[in-house]
Amino acid sequence: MSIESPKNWWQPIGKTEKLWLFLAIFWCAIMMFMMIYGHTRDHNMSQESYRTTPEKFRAVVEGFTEKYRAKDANGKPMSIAIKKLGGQDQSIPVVDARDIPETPANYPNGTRRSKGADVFLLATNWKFTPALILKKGKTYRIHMSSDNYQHGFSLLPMNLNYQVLPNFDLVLTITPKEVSKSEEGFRIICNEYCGSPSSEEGHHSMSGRIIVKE
Amino acid sequence: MSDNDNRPLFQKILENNWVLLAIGLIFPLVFYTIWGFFELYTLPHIDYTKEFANYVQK
Repeated sequence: MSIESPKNWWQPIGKTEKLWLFLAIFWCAIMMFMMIYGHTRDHNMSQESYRTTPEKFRAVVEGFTEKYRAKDANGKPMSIAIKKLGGQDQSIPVVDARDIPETPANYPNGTRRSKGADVFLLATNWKFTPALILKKGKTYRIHMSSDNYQHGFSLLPMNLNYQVLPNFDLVLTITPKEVSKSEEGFRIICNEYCGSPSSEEGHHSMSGRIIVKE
Repeated sequence: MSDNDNRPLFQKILENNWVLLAIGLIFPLVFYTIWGFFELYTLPHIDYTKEFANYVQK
């Protein structure tokens, strides 16, 4: 070494260093207990994940959509138009989940960690399907997965953000507390870049809907 | 350095570049990568045909 250090430089810790260590550890302890307290105040949504495959998840979403598809006044299956930048609007089927019964939790005997009505949401290129009609005050377990790339689930204006990954089923337990102010409902946008094949469609135009009614 | 055997242990560790390199590689490998893989691959599989038989045809 070009600069020689003292032969034995390891000295007992000094007074200033002790004070600094105490303050740092004390602040870490405060932040740790704030996180635990935050869990009791619903600061962080509990979530659970399972392993699945795109094929299995797509099959259950299609079955769910077919079983609970909402119908309009004429009895025709309802769809909602998602406006795209240029080009044609994209049509997403609408599912009415207001009458799906809440299933009790069975953890640790089973895997259900929370009580709620199970609904399914698939992130695909380039939409979140189906659009969900939920009931205010009812607890839902939203299963989310992707059938191709990594997507980001961002519910606006609440700014709830989660990663939606292929091969993993993420379950969010939520209880909607306010009714949608318009027929369009709350918007879901993708906040994980997933491709831009054209100016008309791609990550920038990817969205979905959650409509909350009484 | 043979006449410096009375160095404290922590000084010996912090003066040994190879030990520091090993610690810098092993700690993130174990606590991030290996622990992360373990968490991901021990997630339970969900059987939709069992729990949501109404929606899925076997």
